[in-house]
Amino acid sequence: MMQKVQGIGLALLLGAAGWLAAQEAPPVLPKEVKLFAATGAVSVAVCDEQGLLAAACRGAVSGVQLWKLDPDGVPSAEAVTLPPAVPAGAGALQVGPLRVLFHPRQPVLYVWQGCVLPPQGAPERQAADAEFRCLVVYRWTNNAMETVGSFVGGTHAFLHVGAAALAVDPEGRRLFMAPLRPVGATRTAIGWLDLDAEGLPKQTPVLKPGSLDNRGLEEFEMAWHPYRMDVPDFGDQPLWSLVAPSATVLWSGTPNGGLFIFDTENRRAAVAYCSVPGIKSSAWTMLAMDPIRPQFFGVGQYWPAIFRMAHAEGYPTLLPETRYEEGAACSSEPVVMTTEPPRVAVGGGRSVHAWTSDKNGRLGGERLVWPVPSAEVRAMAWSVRFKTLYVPAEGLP
Amino acid sequence: MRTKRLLRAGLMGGLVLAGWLAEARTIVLDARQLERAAGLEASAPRHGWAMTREGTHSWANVIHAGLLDLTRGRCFLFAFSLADIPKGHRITHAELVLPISTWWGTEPRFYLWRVLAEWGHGVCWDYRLVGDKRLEWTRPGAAGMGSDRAARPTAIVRLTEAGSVVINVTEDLDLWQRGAAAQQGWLLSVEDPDVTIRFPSPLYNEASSWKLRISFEPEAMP
Repeated sequence: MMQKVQGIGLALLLGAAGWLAAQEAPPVLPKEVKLFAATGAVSVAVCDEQGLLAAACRGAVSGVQLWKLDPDGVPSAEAVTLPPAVPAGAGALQVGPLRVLFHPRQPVLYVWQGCVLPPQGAPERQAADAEFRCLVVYRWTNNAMETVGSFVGGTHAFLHVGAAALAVDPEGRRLFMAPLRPVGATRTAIGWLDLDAEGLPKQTPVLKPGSLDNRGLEEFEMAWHPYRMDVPDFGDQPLWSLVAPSATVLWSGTPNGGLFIFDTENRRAAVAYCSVPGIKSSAWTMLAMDPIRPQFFGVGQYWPAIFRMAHAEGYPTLLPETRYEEGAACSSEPVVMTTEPPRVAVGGGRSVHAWTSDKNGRLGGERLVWPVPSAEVRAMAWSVRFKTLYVPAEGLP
Repeated sequence: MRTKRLLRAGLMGGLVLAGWLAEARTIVLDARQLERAAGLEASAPRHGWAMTREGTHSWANVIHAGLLDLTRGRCFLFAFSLADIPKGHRITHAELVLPISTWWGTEPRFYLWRVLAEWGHGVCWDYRLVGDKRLEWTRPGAAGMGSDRAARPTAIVRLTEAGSVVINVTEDLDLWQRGAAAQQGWLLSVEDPDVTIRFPSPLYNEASSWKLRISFEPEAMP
């Protein structure tokens, strides 16, 4: 009898110890994954050159937050919140960032912002329509981020949208953006501004209103008007994912498990569409380019599969490879980790999924799952310099 | 004693023959077993997925691979994986089954060519390979007879009704299996003006309707 009681006591003790151990066990993360505290992060970007980390946050605090990275790639304890660009006459316009992106070579940060428009007829509305600009450009100068200017207003952009995307080609010659207002009869367009050597938007020649003279010659003036190409209509597009493999070719995720390829140099083949078998036909596609190999990856939002496809100078080529993984509901754009072996990380519910690829980049290896204390990971960024995946997390001290 | 030996030898021979017969078999591949494929179009010279421009309104003129519309200036390259044919076997019969949806134009016909030149990463109308260097076709669109594609077509298929067509490709498979020619797959083309032939897409949702049926047997009686 005594032995039985002792046995039960021991079992209870062991059980309690196990429970306590389970409660206190810290999340198991490899050294190349760093969590940083950011609530409601919808876009994250890293500037390797200057050691900067930026996040577009739309949580309790809405704004672009900026961290300085130390020599080991650890973010500073406190983030700086960058001031949004709000027109003077627009009063307390509710502004929120949708996308952040660094120039690949210059210390320049591009932010796409949207706003909640005041009612029609209100003076603030007129000010917003006339003066609010979606693209805000900052430059890292003297150890601080200064505002260079804001561009692309309501004539060309939708001011009130839930999602947007930016992309710069690897050479840093063009800044692509979406969604823009269409030129023709579709619902949206993609567009771009050429960039100067410092990564700042260049003006383009635009037709002067009413400039047609009586000899039929038109007059032009210089302005920051983006070049635009209409997007074939899939209906409203609440999610955008753009990748610029070159200054002339742009990929855009589509809402049905595929991508558009925009060729800005060939008017006879300006838009191509590639549907990827294995990605759900109603899943929004999010894309990422491999910075080393000529290939890219895509996932369907909330769909447990990832695809890999090769490209040649920006043009997708040959057949895609698709991996289906039960339970891996993807909620962020893929991020290519230049580790050994290479991995592709994708945010999910309370986790990050990482697919391991072989030396040729094929998704042949295991899938790792790293826990993250956030309901959903919607954005991440990889630093080649620090070999670190930065994952925004909620509820961190 | 001699009878016993003869019986034993006969039994052994019978077993070997049975094994040989069991090894002779037929496999059926479909477009899910394609190892390479590409749609090439003259007016989209860098694209490898240019198979049609079907579409209206905002989709008009958008290149895609949801259908294959063969016409002059647009062709289709495809190569099946033949990994399931064991070494030491010879091809006894092979046929390619291609589904036809519809066509436009008079006296429609399409050509099936064995491809000679190596093609792969970056294949498009202008180039057969794009890597560190760009390697061009002898003539754009893999049109070089005897260099890009075989000097004569494997088949010229005249269409009279929609549905599947069956093409005897035994000779091509035999060449590849014997190693007499490198397996670079086939090219489908339309050579006549004002003819368009529509196939359901092997790269989209009709992969199972493109079939390659191959019969093979061990090369020689042991």
